[in-house]
Amino acid sequence: MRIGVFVCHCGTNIAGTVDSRGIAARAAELKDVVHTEDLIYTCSEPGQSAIQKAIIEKGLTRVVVAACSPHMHEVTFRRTVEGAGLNPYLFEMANIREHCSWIHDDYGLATEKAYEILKMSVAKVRQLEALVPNEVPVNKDVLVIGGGVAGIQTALDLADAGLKVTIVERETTIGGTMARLDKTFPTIDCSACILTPRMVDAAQHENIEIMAYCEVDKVQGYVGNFTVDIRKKAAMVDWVKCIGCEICVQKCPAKAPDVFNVGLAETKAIYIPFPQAVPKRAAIQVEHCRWFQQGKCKVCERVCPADAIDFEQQDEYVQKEFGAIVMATGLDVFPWENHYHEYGSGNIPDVISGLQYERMLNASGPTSGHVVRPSTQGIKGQEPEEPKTVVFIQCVGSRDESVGRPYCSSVCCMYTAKQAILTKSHVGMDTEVYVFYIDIRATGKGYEEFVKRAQTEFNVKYVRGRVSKLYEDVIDGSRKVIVRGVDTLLGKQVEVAADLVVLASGITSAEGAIPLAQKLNISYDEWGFFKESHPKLRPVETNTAGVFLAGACQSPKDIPTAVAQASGTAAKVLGLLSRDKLKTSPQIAIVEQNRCVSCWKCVEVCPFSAPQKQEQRDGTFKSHIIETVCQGCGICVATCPVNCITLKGFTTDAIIDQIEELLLA
Amino acid sequence: MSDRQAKIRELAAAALAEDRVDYFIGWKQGINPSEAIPAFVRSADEVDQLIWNPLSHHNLTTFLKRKMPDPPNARIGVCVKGCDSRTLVALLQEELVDKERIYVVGVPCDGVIDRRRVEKEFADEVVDISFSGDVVTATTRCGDSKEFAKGDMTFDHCNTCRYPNPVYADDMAADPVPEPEDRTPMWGSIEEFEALSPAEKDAKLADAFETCIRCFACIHACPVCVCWDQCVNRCRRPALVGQRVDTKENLMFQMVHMFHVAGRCPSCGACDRACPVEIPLYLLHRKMNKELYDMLGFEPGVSLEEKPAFQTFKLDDPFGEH
Amino acid sequence: MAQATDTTQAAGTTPPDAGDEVKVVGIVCNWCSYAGADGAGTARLKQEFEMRLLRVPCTGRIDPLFAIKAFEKGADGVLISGCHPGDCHYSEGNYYARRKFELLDRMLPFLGVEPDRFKYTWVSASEGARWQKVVNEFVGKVKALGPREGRAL
Repeated sequence: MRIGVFVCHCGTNIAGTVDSRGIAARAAELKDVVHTEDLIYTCSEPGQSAIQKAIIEKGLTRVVVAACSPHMHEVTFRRTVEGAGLNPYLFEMANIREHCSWIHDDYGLATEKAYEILKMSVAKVRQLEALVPNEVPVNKDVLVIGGGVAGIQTALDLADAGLKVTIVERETTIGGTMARLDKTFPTIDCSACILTPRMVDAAQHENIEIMAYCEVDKVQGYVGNFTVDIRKKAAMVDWVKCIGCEICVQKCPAKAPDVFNVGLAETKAIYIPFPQAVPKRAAIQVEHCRWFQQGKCKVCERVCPADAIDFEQQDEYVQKEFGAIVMATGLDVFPWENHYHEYGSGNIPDVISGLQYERMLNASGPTSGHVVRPSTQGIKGQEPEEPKTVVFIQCVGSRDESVGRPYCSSVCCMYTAKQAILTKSHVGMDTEVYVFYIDIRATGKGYEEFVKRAQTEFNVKYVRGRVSKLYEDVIDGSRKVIVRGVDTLLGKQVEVAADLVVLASGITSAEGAIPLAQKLNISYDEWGFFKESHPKLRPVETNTAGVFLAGACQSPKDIPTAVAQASGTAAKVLGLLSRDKLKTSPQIAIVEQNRCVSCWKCVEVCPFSAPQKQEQRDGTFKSHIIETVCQGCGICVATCPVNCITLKGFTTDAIIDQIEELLLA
Repeated sequence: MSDRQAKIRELAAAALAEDRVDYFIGWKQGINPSEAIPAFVRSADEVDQLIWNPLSHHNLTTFLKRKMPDPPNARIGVCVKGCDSRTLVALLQEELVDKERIYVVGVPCDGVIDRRRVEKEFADEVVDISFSGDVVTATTRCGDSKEFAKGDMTFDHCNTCRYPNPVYADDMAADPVPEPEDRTPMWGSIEEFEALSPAEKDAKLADAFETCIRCFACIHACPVCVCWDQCVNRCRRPALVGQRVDTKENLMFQMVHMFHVAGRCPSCGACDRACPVEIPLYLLHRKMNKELYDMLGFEPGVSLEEKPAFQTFKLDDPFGEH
Repeated sequence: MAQATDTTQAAGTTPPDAGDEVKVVGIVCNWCSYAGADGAGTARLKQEFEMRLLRVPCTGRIDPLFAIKAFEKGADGVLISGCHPGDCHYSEGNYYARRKFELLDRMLPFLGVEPDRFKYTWVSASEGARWQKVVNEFVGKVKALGPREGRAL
């Protein structure tokens, strides 16, 4: 065995704290090490060439690179050694950057520790064996979970490229958050005018199947071969028969809160969220339906011209196979009512959220696009009042540690500017409009100009400071919301008597994101946003091969960013599925059958059913692990009492040797 | 007691005569009348060698584990006490024993004698132990004789036994003996050791394991260890246990066994009784069961429907950080 | 080489007296805790020095005997860390591990190992700060106990 050791300086990232040259030299004394070298940037072209040159010239049979995390460059260096003719699995990385130089200050100690880490890796590399990946056939169908603008974009891109796509959407229509928006920044073009044609495109595309009112129940399998159980929720309406004529909605006597309009209006127990819904199909909200709650009514059944109402309908389950899965589950609005008691906890009628205001501005919204004070609505013999003074408050549920949301929701500065401009154009240029802000983040194309327009052209008054309190008071006989805050630029208290206050409520992950992530075994952060594989290098992949991210499920995003990412995701999926066969990791478990005692504990514990009872020539049965099913977790290995299962790349001997190398020093 | 012995002989004779089993495993008297040893009876006219008395400590289910002995498809009759039946259940839970090929005679048990404890009362070799009611009479080669109360000479696992009647049997050798209503296990014997300081525990264990000769008696006597000659303790690769015989590697040797039977071992004490150098193996295995009971309310080998503790899990297992 | 030696001396520090040094082995899963430790590194979160990490795919891969082996070979502390329950990359590995390591955690004191020398915990890929806290607290406790001198384990 001829081991080569390469120690990286990473500029000063490592060498600033660790004597890279020194430990490279010391490594020469380790058993089987025949070549050592320190390199300034090992991952660079000269660095990789140096490794390849040494492999060829010194006849190296094992390579250790002491540098950054294997999560960063293991793949890079495996390719490097393979390029020089060495099996890529005869390579091991020692992480002396993230786990050493970056977390210690003491040069001597960090150098000593780095050398120990390196020694452990040399001990491990001696136990490694050449491995060859397997190939498995690939299913080329794609599942997109979530039918918002990101999911639609990915689906259309993939479908145009010839792949079959299934969109699973839990609501009765696709469209997502964008369908609820009135206008989009910075162009102030109509949101629906952009989105609804795309929704129709998706519905009519020969390669796209939309499964609305469905949820993903269970996911099994692995990249290229996922098996997904999908639950079709009972709409109590036969969607094959339903023609979306809305007669049932018109005649239904039972009222229900209008979720689509964020509670600003009421809908019926049988409903279609909005006129351009795709698919346009009715569903009964059982908890509000008179038939289900009181046992009488059935008006919808009588009036339905298509005979589509089915009170007996049950949830159905279908199983489908996919090669890749795209998560596009979008976002929810931060539930500010539960956190901002100083803003009235939702009990002041004239304090509303940004999304509510969006619906109010919309021509097909609950007020037909008229901006009104909710406190003056629904009073007999009186027209709702238009607000004269409107105050916007930014960063409600964003950049606020006190409510556990330190992150920026990234869209609120811009949508507030947009809503401020729209206020002026809907109500009149003489309307007083204030925006309380921490600072303005307008980093997209044309964004800064847009905010400037709001300030100069539309004379929106921007006040830098937080609002400490909102409360109702009567001034000169009229009901007002008193906005008390501070102008930090002038350094003085401000008080505004407002008619309407709009909170730029931030973005949180969609409800149910975490349980869904757990079904797919993907990582998520503490707020339920899904974690990308690498923030810069693999921003649309997850750590679970074959599962990708698009849109705000990853982090708060505006529409252009979500759409751009969705197309990027589609490209990655296409790249994956352009092959007929996929190479699977060879770092999997294998049974040494002559030592197997047929106790079947491996069969019992494997989450993937990879170990099978295989009949032998003598009629006995021994465990056999199906290579393409094994995911390489090693649960069976730790369970097998005779230790006759080996996890390639992470063998028991390799682990013990690492422990001993460290401790026997 | 002799009633049970007679019934065992009767049931064994019937099973053999009717060709329901190829052979029957029970207990018989050893060459030394102070010992009972396992008996393999192959015909109905040999059943008179079978005995039942408080010396019948061997857990005979160890002969069933994994491949049933020669011939491979043998149908076997076997006698089990309460504790033995739990190791049998542990084997059945994992289908390591074919239920269809065994005939189980359950023997309600009043506790068995710790022969080592008796021997320690004499300077000379004990050659005979006899019973009369609750009185045990032991006699040595020189003819010394002493009487003991049986309760003073039974094993710890008998004194704390909660399952004196077999939990699994095809036929019973007697009506069940009275069972404790409260089946909460007792842990008396290990609390003394638990109270020691870490250094004292280490010293005691070191003294005990220093004497281990790695004879594998504990492992072979263990009814739920199924690895036989493939035991990882015998392996060079993976090198989980060093081949060098020293105190620490000896303890490691035992840890391999202990963690491999965790969740299946009901601490029947067979390993402890088999150990020629008297390493307190029962103490270790009993402690393991105490913790398992505390963790999961789990007792190995009680129910056929249960899975061994480490081959399953609950999403809300009540320990660890969440 | 000569140059390297000079640099070490120039920094004015030498490794601590071997007699007081403790050795701590951390066995972590690839997907969560190893990545969490990477995250802590990227954020330059300073940590106690004695931790040495071993990467395995999943806590389900870790045989409790590895920890015992480490103690046998002279480790002064062993830390096991993986994905939070529910987040295992392989769905179930950490649930099996939780049972095994809970038992080990309870058995080690019986084998003469002080309770503070072993810990099993969960640190996700996004919890760099939590990783720092776990390492510093655990190593701190092991250092307070000092090196082990077990005869049996």
